[in-house]
Order: sequence, then structure tokens, then C-alpha cells
Amino acid sequence: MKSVWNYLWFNPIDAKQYAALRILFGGLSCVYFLEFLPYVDSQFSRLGWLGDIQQIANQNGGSWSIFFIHENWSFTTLAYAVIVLGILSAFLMMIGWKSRYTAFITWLIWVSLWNRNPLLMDGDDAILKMMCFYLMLSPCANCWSVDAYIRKASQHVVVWPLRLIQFQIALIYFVSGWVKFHSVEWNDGSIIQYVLIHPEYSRWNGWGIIDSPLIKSLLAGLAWFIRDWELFFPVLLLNPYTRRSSILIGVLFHLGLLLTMHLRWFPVIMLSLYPALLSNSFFTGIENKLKHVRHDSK
Amino acid sequence: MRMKVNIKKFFIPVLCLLHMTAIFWWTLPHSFQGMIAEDVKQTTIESKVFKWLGFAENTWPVLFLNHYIDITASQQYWDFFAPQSPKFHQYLSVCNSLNRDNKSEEISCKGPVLFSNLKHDFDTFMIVSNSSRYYRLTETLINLNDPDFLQAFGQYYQSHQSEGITNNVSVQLLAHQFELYPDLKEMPKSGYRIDKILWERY
Repeated sequence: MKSVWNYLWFNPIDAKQYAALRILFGGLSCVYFLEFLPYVDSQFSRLGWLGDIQQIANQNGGSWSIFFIHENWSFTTLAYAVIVLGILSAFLMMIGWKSRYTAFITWLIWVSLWNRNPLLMDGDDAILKMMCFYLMLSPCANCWSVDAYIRKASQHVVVWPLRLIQFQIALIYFVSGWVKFHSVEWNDGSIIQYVLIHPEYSRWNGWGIIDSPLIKSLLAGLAWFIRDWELFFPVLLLNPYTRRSSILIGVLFHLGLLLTMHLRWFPVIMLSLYPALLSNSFFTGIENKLKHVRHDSK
Repeated sequence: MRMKVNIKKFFIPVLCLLHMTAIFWWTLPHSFQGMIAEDVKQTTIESKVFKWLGFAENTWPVLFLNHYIDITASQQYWDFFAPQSPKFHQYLSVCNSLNRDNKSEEISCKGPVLFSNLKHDFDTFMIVSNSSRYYRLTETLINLNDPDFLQAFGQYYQSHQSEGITNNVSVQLLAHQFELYPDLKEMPKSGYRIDKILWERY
């Protein structure tokens, strides 16, 4: 019992797993903050349309934000300063300079933006916000970082922050799958037809392909498969064999979303979570292959 | 030293489990929004589970978990495309005055358009699009239908965009909703259009 408990929370893992997540989520947060720049005036500043409205509880906004400290501030300047600080901290997090502090600042900026205007936010923003929270708790600086270059750190680190990330990923899929059982279009299998002809979501004109009864049946089967796979995702992770096939399905699913739908960086963000589901041997294998490549090139 | 190690080995997992419990407790009902509330008699196992997860409104576990979620900013909901499905697409316009077409029953802005994310061409599908932030915002505003937000949104664009265009203080928020019918070939491909005035001030 004690050994299971220790394995679950304190088993040493390769530091590369956190490093990969830090680089991916630092980089993505940096891109997202850059993309927020055109919205600063109208969506986040006090001079924007929200004015003095604070804590939008009916859209799950929280009670605190740097944007709410505005007594003696020129609010547009503050709004720009917050975003620029976010861009800088996310970039430093990506390259691994004072990694945990910069992950904390990036999380602080994410929360401030989310709580200021949750009406503008979506699932991709929620994942980035949550991942910065988990990364600031994790030893994400020990590898592939400026910190590790300056000061040698252990390449074996504790697993408990990774368990939080794994639970978060399982929760996203499980709840998404469960909610789909309440949707008429997911249950009758017509959902992908709608997605393919939706002017806002679809990248391609899908009217040509949804006429065929065979394709309609295939799309319905695919919709049911995705719904069920999402619901059972946490269970499928428990066994090494079902985990591998589940990860493969996930990669194909998100690549499919990337090719067919306008969801900003959402499919890339979901794929960026997958290093948290891979085993240690995967990272060791990659490193060994890289060593071989370097050796051969010499 | 040994005592210190044991305390760490006890408290870290306890705090992790607390976090997992809190996000699971908060996320489930928020992802389902009104779906479970529709089942007033709570006949299904799901409704019973959600009722149990909700506890009583003012009990200490609820207050504690709510504070925890707020401080750690762990709010999240995962209702992608369900039940708000891609069967609909909707847009918002802020107008200075309105034009009604009695034949088609379409309503549109007359004169200057203060804000609009309504597309004029639904036949062309774009491989790259940057409209999704405003689409998300206007979709949420339409669905929430909160008069305070609608007023704030309308007044902002009225005061910022109409400078030099008009002295008229009237402002209307117009929702354009399209319902897609993939099986009805006689229907426009953009879907069946319904325009609705969400908020207005004269």
C-alpha cells in the first residue's frame, strides 16, 4: 500500500517531460498574448465596453484580476502593460529563465485576462491558464532551459505535479464526452454534417460531401466513436495498451480538427498536452535517437 | 528530518487530492449548465449525482471549495458544441437606426453600422480566419441576453464609432441567427435567418 502511494505521488520521472510541457505552453501563451494586443482597448481596458463592470460571475469569471487595481492608474496604459508583461514572461518561461517565477507571472496574467473579460474566453484559454498553474508547481526548469544551463539540476524529478496535469487532461475528455450525450446532434450522429457546412467553424465547403448516404453513415459512426472515446478516455489511460491506442486516436482526432475547423490553436494546445501522457521510456528513446544522429553526423 | 519528510509525503498528496476534488466538483455542473436543471424531479442517476455534488448552497464544504476555485482561478467548462451546437451560427450588429424588410422579415442597420460581425458572403469558406474572438464574444452576449452587458456593449460602440457620423443617440443591438438545414436543398446554404432586436435605446 505504502509503495503504491509513493509510486503514485513521489516516483522519480525524467525532467524532460516537464521541460517539453514548459516549452510548448510558454510558447503558446506568448502567441495568445500577442494575439490579444488588438483587443486591449475595447475588451480589457477600463475605457473599453466593459467599463467598471467587474467579476462576471454568470460566465464563470473570478473575483480577482490585476485589471481591477485601477484607482490611480491610466487604465489603457495598465492594460497594455499587463499584456506586454504577459508576452515577456511567457517567452521567458518558454526558454526557461527563472522558469517557475515566469510560469507564475504568466498564470497571473492569464487569470487577470480571464477574470476581466470571460465573455471573450474559450476552452483553449482555459487550458493555457490551468497549465501555467500546474507548471509553476512543477520542477520544469531542470532540463532544456537557461536555468539548467546556468546551474546543473537533477534530471530525475517528482511525479505529483504530472499527476495533476494527467487528471486535468482526463477531466477535459471525460466531461466533454459526457456532455455530448445530452446533445441531440451528437446522439443522432448528424453533428459532423453541421460542422462541415458551418460558415464560422469549417475551413472547407462541406456541402459537396454530405449528400452521399454512405458518407452520412460514416460521419455518424465517427461522431458516436468520438463521443464514446472521450467518455472512456480516463479508463483507457489506465492500461498501457489501451493508453497507446487512445493516444493515437487523440492525435488523429486533433489533427482532423486542425485540418477541418477554425478553432484557433485549440487542436495544437490539446496535442501539446500529450507529452504528459507519454511514458519515461519515450523521452529516453528520443534522447538516445538524437545522440545516435549526432554521433553519426560526426 | 524524518518527521519533516513524512509530513511532506502526507500533505502533498492531500493537497493534490483536494485540487482534483475541487475542479471535478466545480466543472461537472458548470459544463452541463441548464441541462440537468431541466430535470426538475431529478429522476435520472445523473440528476441525483449533480444534486449530491451541489450539496446545500451555504454549507462549509461548498463555501470552501468555491473559495478554493476562485483563488486558484480553476474555473473551466467543457461543453464544446453541446448543447450549443453548430446547428446555429449567430452574429451581432450595433445600429444607429433600423431597416425592416416586410417581405423577407429581415432587419438590418439603416445608415452607419456601429459594429457588426455579420458576414456578407456565406458561400466562400476561408482556410484561414481571424474572426473567432468576436464570434465567441457576440455568441456569448446573445446567449446570455443580459441587459447590462448589452447596454454596455451598445453604448460603447455608439459613443466610439458614431463620432462625426451622426448626433443621433439612438442605438439598437441586433442579433442575426441562422439555423442550418443540411437535408433541405431548397433552403439557403447559410440557413434559415431570424433577426431579433436584443436591446434598444432611443
